[in-house]
Formats: sequence, structure tokens, C-alpha cells
Amino acid sequence: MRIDIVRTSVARLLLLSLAAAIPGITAGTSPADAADTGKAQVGQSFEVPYFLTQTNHFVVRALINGRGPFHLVVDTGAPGLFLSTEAAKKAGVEPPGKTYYSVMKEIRLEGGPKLDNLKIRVEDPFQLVGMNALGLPGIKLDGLMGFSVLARYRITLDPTHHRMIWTRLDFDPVGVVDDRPAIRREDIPLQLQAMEMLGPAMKFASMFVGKQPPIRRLPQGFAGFTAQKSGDSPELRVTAVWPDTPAAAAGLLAGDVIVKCEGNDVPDDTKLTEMLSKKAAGEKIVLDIKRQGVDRSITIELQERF
Amino acid sequence: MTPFPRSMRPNPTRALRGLFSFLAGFSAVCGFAAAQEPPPPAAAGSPLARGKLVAKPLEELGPGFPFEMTGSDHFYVEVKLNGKGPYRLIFDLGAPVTLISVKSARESEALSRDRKKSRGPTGVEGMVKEMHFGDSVARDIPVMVFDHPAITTMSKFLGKQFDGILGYTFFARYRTTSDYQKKRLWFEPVRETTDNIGSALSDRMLNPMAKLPTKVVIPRASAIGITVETQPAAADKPGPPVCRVAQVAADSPAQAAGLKAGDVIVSLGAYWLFSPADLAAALSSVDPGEPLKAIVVRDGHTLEIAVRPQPVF
Repeated sequence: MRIDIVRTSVARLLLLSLAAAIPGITAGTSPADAADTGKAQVGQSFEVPYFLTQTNHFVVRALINGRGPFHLVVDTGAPGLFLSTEAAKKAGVEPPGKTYYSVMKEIRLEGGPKLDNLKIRVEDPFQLVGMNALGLPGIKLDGLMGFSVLARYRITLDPTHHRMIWTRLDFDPVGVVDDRPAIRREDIPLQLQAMEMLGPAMKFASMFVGKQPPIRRLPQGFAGFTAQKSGDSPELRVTAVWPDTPAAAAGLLAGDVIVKCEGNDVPDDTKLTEMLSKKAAGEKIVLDIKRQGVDRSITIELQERF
Repeated sequence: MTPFPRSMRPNPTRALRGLFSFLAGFSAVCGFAAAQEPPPPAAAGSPLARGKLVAKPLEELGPGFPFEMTGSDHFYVEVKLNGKGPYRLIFDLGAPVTLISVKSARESEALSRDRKKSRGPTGVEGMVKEMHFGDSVARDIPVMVFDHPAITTMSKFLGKQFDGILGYTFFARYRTTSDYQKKRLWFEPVRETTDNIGSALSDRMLNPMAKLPTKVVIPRASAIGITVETQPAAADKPGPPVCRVAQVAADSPAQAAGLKAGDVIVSLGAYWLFSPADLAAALSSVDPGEPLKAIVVRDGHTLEIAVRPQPVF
């Protein structure tokens, strides 16, 4: 048994999504009517913001029936949209009766894509159960978004950019698992059943290894000045100080030359941008400046402003 | 059943050690879930990182590469590995690694000859020196070598041999466009290398109790001159939290655009605003001087307001 656990854990670590293949591979093909799924958007392109998790999963936010936001993994390895029972309840999606799928009235993705009357599967894939048990506050994963959504769009995903581009196609593919009856447990291959035990196992293990503390997403703090190098000058100079800002209160003046930030050299504004991008509101920054040949040190307490 | 690589064959000592790495793996699993902002691009301020990502029209992208549906609503590509094959790899955006079967790894000599070097806690690591898509080639793709039960099962049920999964370690290198209607993929290179997440995971497994950072700062490259407060959705009306303008600074871009205290900003640019961090994200990827569209609710009416963020620290 231990061996099985080890094996399946390896499988789990390596591959989050393909367990959702179960319905896909055990289903026969059956025709189904294509729902009215937001045809009004055909031809439109949307910028869809995403998060990349530390494990290299692409997560987008969705409002389902106006509730949410829910965090969904963009997953070509899932045959449809899988939504956790908890999220489904929150979104007011009816649990499936005798059919495999439930129907959600409306799903909207951040950035604009929208689909109506989409068939979804309300289920708790072991991947999500396990991960959420170990603590994912702020970004608890609520589902996997696969074929039935993704196939309706041409999607450009640039891993060095913060947003994807989704273009609605005039295409409403019929999935091979549409309209299939509820899956029978004995139809699921044993190997995959073993994998399903991982979710509860991880829930159990979380009692020993502890749940991760919430990850708080904090906005970068606001100082209220701009700085630039002008022409050939090697100096990084304050170009403006906005009135009634922390920078103004600290006495920073336009024309000051920034020599160091937090004790580190700042040769240009790119370096300063990089350093300040790690400072949240409430934190302080110390700037070493030169004003009319005199060295000074200025401490700015960053605020939450935008 | 397909044999597992040696490191995973039943053996009591190994099983115990394996059990440890299984438990240790949980911290890695936590990492799976811990959300992060997308990693900063190699060069800050590069055109890829900021501003609008423009999808090229298909005619500019060229013919691309064909893919086929598996019959289970997944799709696969046929590739050659180190000149051998073709092998069928399932294209899986949800997979953090690229995975190939033991058989295909042996045939294509993707396994390191130094067995010790290639063995990690999550399986056996390998390297595909050349992955051919038709005439195009991707070089030095890190892979995990493992007969995944789901792939084995898929092959059995669908009556077609599948040899692995194309995952993040491949497509982290490319701007990838997928089109199910045309059944084609396009790849434009954006990065030279990617780490094998297997290695990163094993580093973390060595210290199972290590906690992840508890905060992430969302960079904000520009500002419009407001403060906000977030409020939960009204108790009688379930819905997402809202972001309300508290103050508008004098002579600010927000004031110039006509934003007022009390306005609820629903979205700014492509971003929904449920928290101050979302507002920072919306202001972090703006072309200087370009207007951003704000959807604002004021006194029950929805307005569209164009606001021009200014770069400021």
C-alpha cells in the first residue's frame, strides 16, 4: 500500500490535471445540442489577467452567476469545467441529479469573456482537495477549466506577460462527454481510483505538516515622486514631487540627486523601480540624496495610495 | 503493467524513504497552490512585460503546427525526440512538467547515463536535446521520465498509444497560440531556458517544514491619485467585494477624469477590482499616457470613464 501511495504521490506531483481525464476516457461518444454560449462575442478579443502559481499553473478569475470571484486553473488536460462543490454552492449552481453535468447560467472571466448556459461538472477533483487542505488562502483554487471553455477561444498565452489574449471563435464544439449519464465507480480504472485517495490523504497529512499561512497580496507602497536621468548625465534626479504625498512630507524636492536607496546604489530609474516594487504600504524607504552638493538622508513612509 | 523506473520499484527501505518524500512532498504541494504574480520578465520594462499584448493575426503567424484530438477532449501533438519517434504527447496547460514514458525515454536516450544524476525524489529527470515539430526544433527540454497511470489508461481505453505530456517546462519558453477550430498551435520563442520544476520541488522537499512567504507585493508602476477602501458585498446581496474611492487628490489624473469619492470602481483596464492589490495590478502594466477604461458605479448608475495613469513611485 505504501508503495502505491508513493507512486501515486509521484503521479500527483507530476501531473495535476489528467485525472480529470476519467470521464473523458470512459465515456462513449454521444451527440449533444450546443448551448447558446455567448455567441454575441464572436470575433472579439479580450485580455485575460492570470496568476502563475509557484507550481506553474495558470489561474484566472471568474464570476459565476454573478458570484465569486472563483479561481480556475486553465487546463487543456481537463475535458470540461470542473467546479468544486463548495464553489458551486456559493455560485448557486445546482448539483447534478442523474446527469453528469450541471448547467450554469453565466460565467464571466476577468477581462471580458462570457459564456452562458455552460455545462459544468460539480466535483472535487483530488488535486484541488489536497491543495486546498494545505492552505491556499486568498487564492484557494475552485476548479479546473478545460476543453468545453477553452475550445471556444483562440488563446495566446505568453508566459512573460501578465495577461493572455482570448479571441472568441465561431465554434461551439460538442464534447465527447456531453450528456453522458453519471459515471459509475466501477468504470473508473483502479489506478486512477488509487490516485483519487490522495486528496483525503493530503487532508490528513495537513494535520502534521500544518497548513500554510495565508499569502497576502499587498499593493506596492506610494511615495509620490518621479525620477529620471536626463541626457548624458550619470545622475538620477528627482523630476517631480506630487503635493500632499509622503515624499513631499519627507522633504524630498525636485532636483535632488538620488545616490542610494536603502544603502544600495541606484544607477538608474530601472533599478529604483525594481527596489521599490518590493516595498508595501506602511514600510519605510531611506534615500541618500545630494542637494546642492550637500549629502542628506531622507526617510519616506510609504502609503496605500494609487 | 508497464514497469516503473528502478527508483520506484517496491523495496522496503526505499518505500520508507519514499513515504518520507511523500510527506515532504506536501510542502511542495502547498507551493503548488500558493499564488504568485507572474514572474518578472528577464528585463524589466521589456515590451513583453508592459503595455498591451497584441495577438498577431493568423496570417502573420504562419502555418503553425497541427494537433489532433485524442477522443477524450484532450489534444496531442506528434513530435520526434532526439530524432526518434514520432511520439504522441498530450498538450496539457495544467501540467507543471513535461513528462515522457520510460519506453520513449529509453529509445530516444533522453535519460542521463549518470543514473544518480538523473534520479530525483519525484521521479527520474531527463533531458530531450532536440524535440522536433515537423521541421522546427525545440532544444534542451527538461523532462520527467515516468509511466503515468492516467496516460497508460488513456492509451488502453482510446486504443492509441500516448507517450507523455507536454507541460510547462516546454511552453514556458514560447508565446503559444492554440486554436481548436483550426486544430493548430503556434509557438513564438520568448525565453531561452526553463528550469525543470522537478529540481525545484526536490529542493523544497529537503525542508518540508519550510513555510512559504506570507506576503506578495504587487508592483504598481503608475498612479491616478486616489485612495480606496474595500468592502464586502452587502449581506443581503451575495457577490464579490467592492473597491470604493475614498479620496481623490487635487490636480490628479483621477480628478481630471472626473472620478469622485464614493465611486465604486468595478474594473480598470482588464482587471476586476476586489482588493487594493488588484488596483496595483491594473496600474502595473500600463503604457504611460495611454488611457485606461474604468467601469464605475455612482449612485446606482454605471459609467465608463477614461483615466490616464502617470508613472510615479
